[in-house]
Amino acid sequence: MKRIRLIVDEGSAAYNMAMDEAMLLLRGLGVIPDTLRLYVFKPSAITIGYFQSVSKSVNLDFVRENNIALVRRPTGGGAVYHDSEGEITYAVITSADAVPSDSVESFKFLASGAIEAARALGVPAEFKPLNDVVVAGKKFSGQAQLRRLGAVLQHGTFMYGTNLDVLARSLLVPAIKLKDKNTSSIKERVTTISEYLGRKVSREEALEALIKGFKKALNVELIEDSLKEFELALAKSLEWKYASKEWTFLRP
Amino acid sequence: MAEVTISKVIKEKGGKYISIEVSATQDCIITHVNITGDFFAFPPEAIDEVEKYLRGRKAAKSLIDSIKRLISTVEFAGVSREKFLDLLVHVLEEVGRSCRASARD
Repeated sequence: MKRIRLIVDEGSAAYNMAMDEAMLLLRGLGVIPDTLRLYVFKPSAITIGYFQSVSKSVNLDFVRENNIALVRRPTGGGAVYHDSEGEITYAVITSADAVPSDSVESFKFLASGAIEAARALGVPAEFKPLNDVVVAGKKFSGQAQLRRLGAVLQHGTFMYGTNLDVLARSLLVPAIKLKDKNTSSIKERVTTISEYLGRKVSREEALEALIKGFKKALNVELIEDSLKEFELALAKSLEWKYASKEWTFLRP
Repeated sequence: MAEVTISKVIKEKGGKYISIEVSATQDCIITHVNITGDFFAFPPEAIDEVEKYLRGRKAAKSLIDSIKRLISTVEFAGVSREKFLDLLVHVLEEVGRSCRASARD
């Protein structure tokens, strides 16, 4: 059975984005093996997509007042709230030829880990194109992707117990999107594993489910390991970009 | 000197949101280009290159041929290449019309 390295990690928003990019580059250069990194944002943070306008997608006053970190991702897609106490992010870094070349198919292929994780907890999750995972029509996981040097990075959220009030107050949604999705607010479109199950799912449970889910979905063995010094060094360097105002406000 | 700014947004059903905003001087020189939204483009930097290419040039529909070349190998998700180009053509045409009109005022 194929083996994939497992890293369980936590850190700031800038660190997490830097480590995802570092691993993508290092995987592209063939320096590191296929890796699944499961991580938590500390403190809680908003990440926005590569092309998003910060001021149009984030309630900047609310985010500032509540000490929520803010970072622009290297990947496209929409704004996401990563609750320290209610969300685990996964990042799969693998060779591009290990995933379907069509982008929607590859989103689905790698999202299957999050889908199986939810199912392991008793949640009948499904993939919803382009890049969402939903239960009963409500999203609890969003995926984004970047490809470089023949490698692919897909990272995605797994909201097991996100505070949806904070999420709804932090993110702004363009009117044109709500119209298309036929709902009037963010809170009608998102949910969490805990909300669906009607009980509080702990971080340990969510983490265990993700490990089980990715093992099953990708049919691999996961070998837990620690980060290499050169990964930390490259991530440290890239962290300057992600921590900078210039990068976050690249599209104001 | 007054600038003109034209901004257009599309979101196809089941697709992603994309907004293109272009500003130009009265003599139709493009000063700002903002391509934003929650779509995907691989590699994303290609969209930055489109913005950079347009800045400082004279707004005209004919710019679209160079843009087509710039994004010929880019893969889009959430918005098609055709819709992206259509939107950009519409914005550039309208910028061209508006700056000429404002120059006559």
